[in-house]
Amino acid sequence: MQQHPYFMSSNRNAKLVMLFSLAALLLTFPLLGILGEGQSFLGIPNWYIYIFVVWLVIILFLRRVVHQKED
Amino acid sequence: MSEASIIFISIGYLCLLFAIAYWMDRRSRKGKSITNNPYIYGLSLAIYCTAWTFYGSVGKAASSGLDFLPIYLGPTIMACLWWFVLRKMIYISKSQRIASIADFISARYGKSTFLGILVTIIAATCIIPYISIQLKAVAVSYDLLKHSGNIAWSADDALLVPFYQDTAWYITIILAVFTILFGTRKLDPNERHDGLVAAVVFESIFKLVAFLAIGIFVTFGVFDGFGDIFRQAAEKAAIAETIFIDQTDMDGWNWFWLILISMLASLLLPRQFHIAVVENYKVDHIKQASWIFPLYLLIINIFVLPIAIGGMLKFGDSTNADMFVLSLPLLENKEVLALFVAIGGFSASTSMVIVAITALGIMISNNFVLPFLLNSSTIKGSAEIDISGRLLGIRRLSVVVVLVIAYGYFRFVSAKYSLVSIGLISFAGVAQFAPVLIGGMYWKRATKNGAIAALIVGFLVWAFCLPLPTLAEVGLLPQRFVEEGLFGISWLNSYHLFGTNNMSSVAHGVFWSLLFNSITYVVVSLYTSSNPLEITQADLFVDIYKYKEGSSDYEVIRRKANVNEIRSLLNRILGVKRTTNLLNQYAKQHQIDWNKVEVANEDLIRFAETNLAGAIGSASAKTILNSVVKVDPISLEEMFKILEQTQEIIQYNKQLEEKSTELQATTQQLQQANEQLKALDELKADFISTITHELRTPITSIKSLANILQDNPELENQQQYSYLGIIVNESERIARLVNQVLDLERMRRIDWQQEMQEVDLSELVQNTYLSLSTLMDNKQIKHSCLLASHSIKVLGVEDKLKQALVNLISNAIKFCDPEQGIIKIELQQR
Repeated sequence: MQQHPYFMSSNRNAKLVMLFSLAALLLTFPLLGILGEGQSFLGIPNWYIYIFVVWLVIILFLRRVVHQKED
Repeated sequence: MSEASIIFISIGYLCLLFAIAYWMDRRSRKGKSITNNPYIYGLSLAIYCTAWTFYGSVGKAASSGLDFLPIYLGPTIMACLWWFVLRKMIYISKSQRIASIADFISARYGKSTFLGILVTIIAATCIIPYISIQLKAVAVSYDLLKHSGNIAWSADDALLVPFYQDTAWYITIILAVFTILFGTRKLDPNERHDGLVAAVVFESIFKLVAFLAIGIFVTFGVFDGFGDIFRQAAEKAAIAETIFIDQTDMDGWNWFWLILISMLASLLLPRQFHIAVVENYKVDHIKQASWIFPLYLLIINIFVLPIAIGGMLKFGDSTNADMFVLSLPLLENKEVLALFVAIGGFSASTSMVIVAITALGIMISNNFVLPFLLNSSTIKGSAEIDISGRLLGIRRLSVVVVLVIAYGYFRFVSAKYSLVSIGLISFAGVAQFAPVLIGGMYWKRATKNGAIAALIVGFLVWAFCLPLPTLAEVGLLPQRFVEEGLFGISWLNSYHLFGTNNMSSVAHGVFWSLLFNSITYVVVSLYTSSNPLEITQADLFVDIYKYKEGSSDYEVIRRKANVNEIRSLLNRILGVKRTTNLLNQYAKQHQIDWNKVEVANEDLIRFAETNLAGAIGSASAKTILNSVVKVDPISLEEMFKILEQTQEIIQYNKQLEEKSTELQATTQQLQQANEQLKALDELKADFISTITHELRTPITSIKSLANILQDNPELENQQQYSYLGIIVNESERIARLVNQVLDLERMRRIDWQQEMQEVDLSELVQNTYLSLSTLMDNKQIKHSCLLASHSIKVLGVEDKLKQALVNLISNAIKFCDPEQGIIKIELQQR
């Protein structure tokens, strides 16, 4: 059966939805609040590093998934 | 710094912008556009970052810590879904030539004029204050530069000068000119504004560089890196309690709502919609954009917190935190850097203003002004005048009006508010489009009435919870209703609706307005029905991937029109040149000759409507076409005819099925018959071989005896006589055999079934007996016939039965010995 173009990249679509949920979870409370407490790294608070690193990682993953060849 | 040099440099910057836009427009007219590029597309989306980002984020960080960040995390999270949502929006918009968010919503719900007007009003209400804070940012930054960071200066001073001495006023005028030149150049916004996009991209890069410059200067020049800044902040309780996440009383609830509205705003703000959807070249550009745009947001936010802390450490509460990015370099006597940063802030403001008023201008002219003008002689006039120029004029006028109102708003209201607070109110307002727009893309059942009710309810709740109290604080509305609730009813309080507590005003407003909005949308949609056009449009929006390949042949409404009338309509609105091009293109595609075609079919009307929709909005295009188009809704009769035809087809199908079953049965019968025939054939072969064998024996003996008689003429008479006797006997046997075969053959040929009838057997036997009794008397054979007292009836063929009887009796006569034999015929029923 020929597949509808909308469903052809279903693998990518599933990954994107997963990434969306993960980003929404990691970048909101309560996870943000948990990392608020704790030590600093080179004087930079942990939460500051956490937010920007998670943010960057999500962007890099997004780039990977969006550019992957349709399968 | 002297005022002249500031103005000189700003004007120089604006000239550069004009030059870039002009150069790019010329390139694209020559077909050498370079804006058809995914990176350009991704960077142009950074128009999301305005003066709010440039100045306001730092101010927000200084007053409430990390609360500036959700505004940039939201779009990042949303970008994960661009491949579904944004792509679908683009496909829909391209197929319907949609030019604004008002057009999108109006088109989805049956090209409703009223919805177009409603969305335009809401968008203008949300965006004009937003534009005004950009003007404010520009004005304040200039005055700050002029006073060289004199920290005693406050924003209110800007209002003391009359408007003709106000820098912001002249900047407003220049921006209006720029927008008119590059943002309203073409009637159909779907023919991209390359110059505008190029200017926006240039400004995106410029503001990022400027912000990174000040960030690096503060972090590594004034302080000794990130660690140093955070360590110093940690030592001051006042700063740590604002900034450090573990020491603030930040709550996830507020954070959540900020993320949600910024997710929606990154797609639904009129300027975002314009850049992301209308100015999109290729759908595939979404791929690059969906990581470039979040990456841009990340980079521009890295230094926000360090700058905010730096400002707090250096100034305490003594200066406007929104202007830390300027006052910090001024404090360090880096005037050139301050000027560079100010130009960066200027670029952030101007790019937002240009695109926002372009988008608003399209909306206001197409969806707000045109519906009211459609009945006037300007458009309906029968004369063959090209009014495309006038339509563009309306759009340009809208741009100017919007800017003037925004400037007025800045003079009277915005000056008293921080950049972020007004921006957030706009975000919350624009979020009201989300249920109707995104719901409409995935839920076919949604109706026009549902959309109208949802937008009105959402807008009213939003207005009551967010902008009204701010207007009251400025003194434009009585303060009482904020303190005591509307009409003195305590649970109708703008900040504590239904007694809700512990929510920031934005979270509170967004929660209630979106809640009422979505519930109204769903409930009213479920309890109202749609007209045929709404159903067609809903199908087109929800199942756009089905239609993408080609147009559907599913039509609920059929329209007819005169080709010449359509042509003159297009001439008037799009101009003669474009119309001719379009129609020639259409004729080539469909291989038709305009001289021979008089009546326009649905396809041509749809083609005209889509092209008109690009220029004047789908609702106006529908209305204006209706003046020349005759609508043929499907009548009840036709409906019945269609039903009948369907019925007939079903009947015919059934018959076919029956025929096929019959055929199958016949085939089976034929097969059986064939097998029978084969069996019979075999039988016949057997029979013939037996019969010939039987025949050969007598023939052999006849032949040999005849040979003997021929060869021996002198044989004794006695002998000869005996031989001849045998020959006669054998010949008789042969004759008998042949007769038997003939009888057998005859018997087989009789169609017993047909001739069977009731036969009185007693009568038959009696008649036969009587006819043969003389023969028996002649041979002197004794005979008797005993019949049953009553008649015996059987089913049979009378002649055949008689023949059988005659045969039987004559055989008996033939072989009966007259002296001893007796022939008895008896008929009895057992």
